[in-house]
Amino acid sequence: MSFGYGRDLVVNDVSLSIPAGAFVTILGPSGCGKTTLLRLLGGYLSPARGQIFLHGRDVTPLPPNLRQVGMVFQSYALFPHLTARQNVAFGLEVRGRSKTEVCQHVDAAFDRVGLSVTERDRFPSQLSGGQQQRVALARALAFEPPVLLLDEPLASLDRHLREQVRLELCRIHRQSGVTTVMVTHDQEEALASSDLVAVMQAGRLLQVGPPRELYDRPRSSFVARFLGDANLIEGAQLGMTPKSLFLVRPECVRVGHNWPGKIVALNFHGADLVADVQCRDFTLRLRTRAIGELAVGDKIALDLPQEHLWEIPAEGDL
Amino acid sequence: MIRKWSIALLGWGAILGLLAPMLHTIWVSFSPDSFLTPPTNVWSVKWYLAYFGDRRWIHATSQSLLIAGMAALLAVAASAPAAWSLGKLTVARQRLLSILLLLPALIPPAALGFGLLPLVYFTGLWGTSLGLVLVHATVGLPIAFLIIRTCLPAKLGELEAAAAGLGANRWEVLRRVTLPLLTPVLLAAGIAVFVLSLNESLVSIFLATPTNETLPAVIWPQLRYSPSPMVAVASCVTALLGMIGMLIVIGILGYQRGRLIAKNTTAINS
Amino acid sequence: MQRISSWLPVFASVALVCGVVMAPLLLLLRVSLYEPATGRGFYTPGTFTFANYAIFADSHVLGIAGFTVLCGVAVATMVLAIAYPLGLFLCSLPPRAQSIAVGLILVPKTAGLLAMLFGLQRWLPRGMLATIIAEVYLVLPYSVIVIYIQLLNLDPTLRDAARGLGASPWQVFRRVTLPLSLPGIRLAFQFGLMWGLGAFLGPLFLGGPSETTLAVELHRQAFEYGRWPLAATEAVGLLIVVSIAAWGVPTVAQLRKVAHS
Repeated sequence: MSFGYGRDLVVNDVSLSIPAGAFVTILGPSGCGKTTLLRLLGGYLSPARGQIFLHGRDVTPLPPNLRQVGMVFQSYALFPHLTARQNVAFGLEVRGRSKTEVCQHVDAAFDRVGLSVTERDRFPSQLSGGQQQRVALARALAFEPPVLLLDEPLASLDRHLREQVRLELCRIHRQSGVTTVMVTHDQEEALASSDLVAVMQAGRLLQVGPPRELYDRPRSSFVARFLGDANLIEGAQLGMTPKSLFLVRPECVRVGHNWPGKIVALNFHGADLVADVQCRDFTLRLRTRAIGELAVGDKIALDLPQEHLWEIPAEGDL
Repeated sequence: MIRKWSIALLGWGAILGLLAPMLHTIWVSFSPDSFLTPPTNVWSVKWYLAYFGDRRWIHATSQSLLIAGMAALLAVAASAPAAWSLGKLTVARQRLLSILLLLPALIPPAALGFGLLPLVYFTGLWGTSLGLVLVHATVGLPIAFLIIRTCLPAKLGELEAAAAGLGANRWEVLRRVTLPLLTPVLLAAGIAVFVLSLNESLVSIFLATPTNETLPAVIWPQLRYSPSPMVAVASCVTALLGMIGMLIVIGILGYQRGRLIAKNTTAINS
Repeated sequence: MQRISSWLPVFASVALVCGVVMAPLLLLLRVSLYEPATGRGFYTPGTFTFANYAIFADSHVLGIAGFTVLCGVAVATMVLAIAYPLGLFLCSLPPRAQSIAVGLILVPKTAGLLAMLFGLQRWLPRGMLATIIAEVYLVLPYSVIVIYIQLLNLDPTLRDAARGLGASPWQVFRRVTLPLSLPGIRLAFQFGLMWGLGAFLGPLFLGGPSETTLAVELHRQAFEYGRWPLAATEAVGLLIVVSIAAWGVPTVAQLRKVAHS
């Protein structure tokens, strides 16, 4: 699947190919055009330039109802005048499937998302946020589309429900094998669930790759910063090539003796301790299991292991 | 493409059809003679000159404007506090109040007009402008109430609470927060009542006397029994005054709505 | 004290409605129970009788009441048939064109009422058709607004969702837009019925002798014959018919229940 496109520069010259069966996350700050990209895939918007291919077929001119793409909207967009069951049956009924077939598929879809039998005949207004989401997911899966689009599916859930639903999404993806494209602004979500992550900024695709590659070997400082805490240090300060920029993740910084400094801030996070250390003319962030009693103002020396230093390629005009 | 154009043609055609009788009247009002056929070769403003030279029409016009203005003020002054406090009432009382304030628009005007006849007679308001102002204000109440209720800023209550939290007393909250936020809406509601009042025929038909007759009250008997280009001119003057008001209302509400849409789109994008 | 301050904001408007709407209605009721005037005056003071209500057994008045109901139903139906497609059309326009179109629809009714009636009078020969067309012109704008607002408040992502699930444009309309706009349709029909039943200007200016509604008839009784008690009785009758229309139109929930059973 690939496409290129430009429309008010909301999505600008994007080209992306998604392997069948993959779980791909489009990650970016709000307003970067990721939802627009998803709506293009679904056929709700049509590109000013470029094409969209699905299994080798050009679907660019097709309206949403002929695209065979399931979509879960951020607001879920459940039909308020239909019960959960009728909502899920919708996609099958408009395709003119027989009653028994509709029934089977609907129940199978409900089973897959794990919505209990008692809740299946309720109206959306009688369901909780998490249940509504399951209905929306079941509805998008029921007509067995080859591609599933998820627009910020976890954004309107509360924190501990979010993790649970994320795991379920992964399970459903594994079991059904449906190619899934999820849009999110939360990097933890993106890193945890996907086969591929595509980072977007200002309508452009910055980098596409497996989560580990993006985290460890970002090609730009934006990607480095967006995917978690990052120490970005100019080469000159490390005594290396003057114009280069180096990344070292806080959890890779070690307590040692090469870089003496003073602790300027301390935050306890439970699993680890995050310390900002002022070393000469730059600040290093250190994430570590709490060792010893540290306090703000204490002197400490750090090491930057060579194998964890990653040189960010020259960024050009980005 | 053809389908799209035919839908547009049909839609705008229907709207034009709604406007057509009014446009026809405007056309007739430029007639050079006293026939009711629209002018083709010779157009003339002689009926307009005659209109503005006639004391009875001038009196009725000024009477209409005066009553409409007073009615608009009264309707807004009465409905604004009601719309503002609606959210603070229980749901049952909200329903009751809404139905009550919409009642003037739902009662058959002829029944209302005739019921007012003995009332105005007994209370000594017969032949006074005050009686008409009260009635016009009440008839305009539903529209004022609806406009204000719909366009009330979404977080007005919170903004007022914030102002109170910053140390403003009730009066200061009203003067510095509530009123400035509501001004455009109140203006729009007032003009809407004004426009409706200019055309308010039904009550005028039942209650007008020679001393306080409004434009519609002069127009309608002539319209019914002896239509002339003069009546067309009078209707057009009323319509013109009304349309100026409408333009202002649409401008204000359109601006408010534009801001509303802008707010929503930013909310969706983020 | 708390009580008073919470009622203060609604006081003026409620007082206006009570004084200018409720009081006249009560007065109508009382006037309908006076005996008609025998000599001078409009009624006989100090009398009390139900005899006036016997007019509703009179075939002439019954005919008028029948035409009133006919007019109400015809107007409400025609208005709905035009207002709903027009509302859909309005929603399909870009925002700026929407404002202009709404303005153009409202202008004749609000600003140019008299001019509109004058124009209609020039075009249509007095009669049944002219009466109903005039009433449609009078009721339509508000009904369009009611339906337009209902359609505007429909969440557009619901239509997107339906498209994405495979529904054709017609299926989206049939299965999503139409059922979700039923409350607006019902409200527009109800208002159309209430206003159509109270039809006064249409029959007065464009109706012939046989197109007399209760509203026109009561005006004639009061002003041409000076028989206030009879006019009041007819007004009460009209109010009863309109109230039946107000309460009688089933709600959407009730309609659904009937459709399901």
